[in-house]
Amino acid sequence: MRVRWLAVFACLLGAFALGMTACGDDDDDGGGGGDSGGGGGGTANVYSSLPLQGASRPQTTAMVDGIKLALDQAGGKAGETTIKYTSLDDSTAQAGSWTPEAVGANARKVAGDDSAIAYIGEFNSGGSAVSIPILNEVPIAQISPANTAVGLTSDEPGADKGEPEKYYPTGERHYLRIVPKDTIQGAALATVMKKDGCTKAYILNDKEVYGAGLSRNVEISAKAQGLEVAGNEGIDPKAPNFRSQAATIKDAGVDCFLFSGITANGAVQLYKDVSAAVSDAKLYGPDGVAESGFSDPKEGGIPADVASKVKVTVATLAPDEYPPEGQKFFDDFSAKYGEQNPDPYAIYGYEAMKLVLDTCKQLGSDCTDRQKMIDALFATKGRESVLGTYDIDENGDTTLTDYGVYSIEGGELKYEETVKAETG
Amino acid sequence: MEASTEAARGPVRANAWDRVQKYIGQYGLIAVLLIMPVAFGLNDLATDGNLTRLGNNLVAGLSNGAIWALIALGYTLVYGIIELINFAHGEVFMIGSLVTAAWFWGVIGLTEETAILGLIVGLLASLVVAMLTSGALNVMIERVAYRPLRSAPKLAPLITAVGMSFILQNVGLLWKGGNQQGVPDLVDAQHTLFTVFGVTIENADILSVAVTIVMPKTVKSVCCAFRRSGTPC
Repeated sequence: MRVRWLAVFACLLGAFALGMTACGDDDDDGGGGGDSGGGGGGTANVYSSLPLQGASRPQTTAMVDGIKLALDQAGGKAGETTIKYTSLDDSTAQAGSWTPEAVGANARKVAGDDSAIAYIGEFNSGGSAVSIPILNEVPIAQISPANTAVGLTSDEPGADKGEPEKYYPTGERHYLRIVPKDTIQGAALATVMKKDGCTKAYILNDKEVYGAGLSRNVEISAKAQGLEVAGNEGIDPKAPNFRSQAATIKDAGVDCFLFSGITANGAVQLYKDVSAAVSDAKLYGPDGVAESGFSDPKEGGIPADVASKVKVTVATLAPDEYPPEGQKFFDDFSAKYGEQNPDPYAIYGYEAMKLVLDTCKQLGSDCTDRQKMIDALFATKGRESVLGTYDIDENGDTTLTDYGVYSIEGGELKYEETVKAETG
Repeated sequence: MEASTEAARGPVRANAWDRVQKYIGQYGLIAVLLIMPVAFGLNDLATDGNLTRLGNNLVAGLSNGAIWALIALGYTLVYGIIELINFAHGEVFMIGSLVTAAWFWGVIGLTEETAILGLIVGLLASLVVAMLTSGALNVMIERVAYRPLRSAPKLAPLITAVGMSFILQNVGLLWKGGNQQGVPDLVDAQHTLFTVFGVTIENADILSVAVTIVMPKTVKSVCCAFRRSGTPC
């Protein structure tokens, strides 16, 4: 009898714990509450979905801070509409990176919110491949501050079969991004490698949407620029080491190596193994490894002797490369958060939210009309922003094309130059 | 006459089929597993004109497999003694690795620039720390989680082991976060010691195989030393 009561009590306790967990622990920020819905003076919700755990944490935390700065500067409002911002996490501690389950949960949560007008995310292109179809059904405007995979918006070289149609079940677009896509980054990487004197390169990719797509772009651009590509293969991100691949690369007699993927997919170990096998090779990486989790040994990144051989490309530039508005952003960011060297990605979080706020303000009472919000975002032309002046084209891509080249010094990314990619 | 002939043919066919089944049972899996290496070998011969790439892959497989074999040894040891599949074993291995890395990197301060003698002594000391840490952790787990369930049905300690696995995973996550953690390459793992027909044998290959050969013998000696009197060893 006593055992039975204990069992009943345990079940009730478990159900209570489950209920508490289901309430969630999302970080709410932004303007105050109020009735949502159409009409001026209402409240609209804006969400971000970024991997707040794992190797990308410093970058995404900076993005969230940039988003909050934009909202604070606007007084929590866009015209007469009060904007409430919620930061969602699409990563798990166990995975140390984004997971499809977390991304899907975030997208469904936002899709079920009648007051949601915009979704800033994802950080990873593979994550957007999950959330785009979900939000397309609603639709809710989705702005990525970091995705570069070509196939998310177009079928240009680098896209996989069936892309981008498979992400838009309604046939209409709702997703746009403010970073240049990988046709640009692929060309930029090939340009940098050629400029550095590479004659034969080997590419490994992490087989994700972003990594596999970018590797195709690099291969196409490299061949167009006369750079021989000895191989382009996928890796097992969970492998304990990559000595076998490193031996293959060594046998191929290359003088340059590129990993097309993200830090969380074995990048650190891969670069260490390749560097040990081919000590003279120059090493390159895309924006997927342009983070402190890769560059800083104190955060589990590559050691200094390997880092000295690495260059990475990322759409962010040095502060003085931006227009005056961009430089002011860095000053404001430093003043608000006490950060002397803000992470470069902060500006993309800021611009994503600023774009939403400016568009909402422009729409006035129609701000809470989701379709009008999407149409207005896609009609963005000649926008003078902290990133420079850009349009959003019919696919949802930005017309910005600059990529920064960074080396690694003292565990930090050091801006080297802006590369204008040779795309022909 | 016909009936007896028919009766004689029947048992011969059954024996032949039995033999085929027996061979398939004994060697079928090996044959299936050999399909890939043979296919790759033929491809390498066609493209490179030699089997060096296959050889390098086999060496890498043996080297990595030796580490898995050590972990499997732990599973087998625990199961053989207390008949429990210790699902927390991998996590104990993980905690032991993290403690060892913190020890030789953070406490002793071993780096790639440390002199050879210092490296050898430091790594041996780290080995002892690793064994003591993992052993102590397993003793604690056994005392807290498994011993109270000695008389319970087998499923109970199995589920408890899964629970301990989750606990240790989250201890690791709380301590080191979700990122992959790199450590200095103190043994110069990819230094080529010698080549055999173009196949490179590196420091890591020799080390992993040597440890895997020595460890089971050591474990057997320890178990035999502590066995109950009269129990064959």
